[in-house]
Amino acid sequence: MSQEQHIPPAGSRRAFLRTAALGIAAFFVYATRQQTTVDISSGPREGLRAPAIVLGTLGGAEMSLADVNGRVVIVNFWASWCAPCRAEMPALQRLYDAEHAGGLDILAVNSTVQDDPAAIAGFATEFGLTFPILLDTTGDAGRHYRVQALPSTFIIDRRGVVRRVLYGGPLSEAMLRAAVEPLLWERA
Amino acid sequence: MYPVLNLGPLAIHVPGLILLVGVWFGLWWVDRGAARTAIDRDWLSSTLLMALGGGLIAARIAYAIPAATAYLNDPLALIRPELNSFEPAWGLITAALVVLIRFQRRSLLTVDALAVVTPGVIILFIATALADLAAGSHYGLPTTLPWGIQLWEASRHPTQVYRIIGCIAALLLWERTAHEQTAAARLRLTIGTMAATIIISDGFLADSATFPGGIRISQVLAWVVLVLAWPTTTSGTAVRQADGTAETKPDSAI
Repeated sequence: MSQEQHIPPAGSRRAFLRTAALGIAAFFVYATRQQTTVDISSGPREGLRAPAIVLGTLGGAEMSLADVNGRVVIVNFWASWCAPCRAEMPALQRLYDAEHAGGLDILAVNSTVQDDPAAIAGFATEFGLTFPILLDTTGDAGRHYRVQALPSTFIIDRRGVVRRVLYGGPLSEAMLRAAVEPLLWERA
Repeated sequence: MYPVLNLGPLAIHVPGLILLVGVWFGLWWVDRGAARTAIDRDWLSSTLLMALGGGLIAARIAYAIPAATAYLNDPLALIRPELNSFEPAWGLITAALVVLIRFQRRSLLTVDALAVVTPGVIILFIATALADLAAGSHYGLPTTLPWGIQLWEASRHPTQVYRIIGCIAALLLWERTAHEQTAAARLRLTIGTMAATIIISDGFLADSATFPGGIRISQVLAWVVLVLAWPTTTSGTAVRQADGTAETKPDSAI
């Protein structure tokens, strides 16, 4: 003979556990919310402060990344013998011509340590480059940006934070514009 | 961290290579699962390839839309093999839609059929996390915990490894429950495990897309998926037997 009793059903215990677990998960989501301050580390990856660059230019002066603080900067590592670098230089120049007044700067860092110094000036003349060309004679800038292949391009916002890392090339003007234009609209 | 592997004159983009291997391995695993069902394997392969192609096209178009003028001036840029100009989220959404539409057209939109695709999705998640680890992307917050990895001037949470561990757990659960549970239960368990993995691993990301206030979008989406994957239990009334044992019966049966 069976007797019906209103004992606590297993289902209600499971419902309680479910609610508790989902509550804990929701609390975890809230507790691990992202802090609004930028990660103070520097490094060549999205979200980190761009590593410093201080190099001599093709014109003989010295230039640093800090000199273009508050502007959107494309740092492009290249060499004169690198075919994709050659192919993307006209696109970089066109973008520079169009957007320099709007807040864009381009630092073309030549990997001089693995290039022929005599060929660099000829390269700049051949493509009519008007943006600064920096000479990485020791390879330190390339090391700080962990450059393992040419070209490598880093897009830095007005706060000095790396926003895009682009390995390889040639990059098209349209692709670069899509990456740069939203940053030009941002405030420092 | 090896974003680029130099082999003589060749510079190989390691994250891209890992994703390629991941896609191939995922397709192989799905095909292996389909062999145990009545699903036409050729049709399934073509569906997945269509999803892959559709996903790539959608990811490129989504990238181009905000700079539509630039792409209209240079339409060929849309089809250039530039690895950097994709919006992966839109690619994934489109690929999922292609699979769902193709399955529905064949009246295959069933739990059993969707279950065949599940391991492939898990493997794609693992490949993505491995690619992030190789690139040094999606890095974690600084930590003093002993398992932190040295990356970008700090010891950091290995968030990519957290995700890989969670995905492997989901894959193992999937395989181990093959003969014990229904496809629906396995699907819920796996999706729940994946959602929990994202909630935990993304909580330690240093940089991610957020809602105002810093709440991470990926965690909120994963929490919603967790709620949906964890069904409310059916209410019931316990019936105590004469021998003292209790049996729970659904209310509808009483």
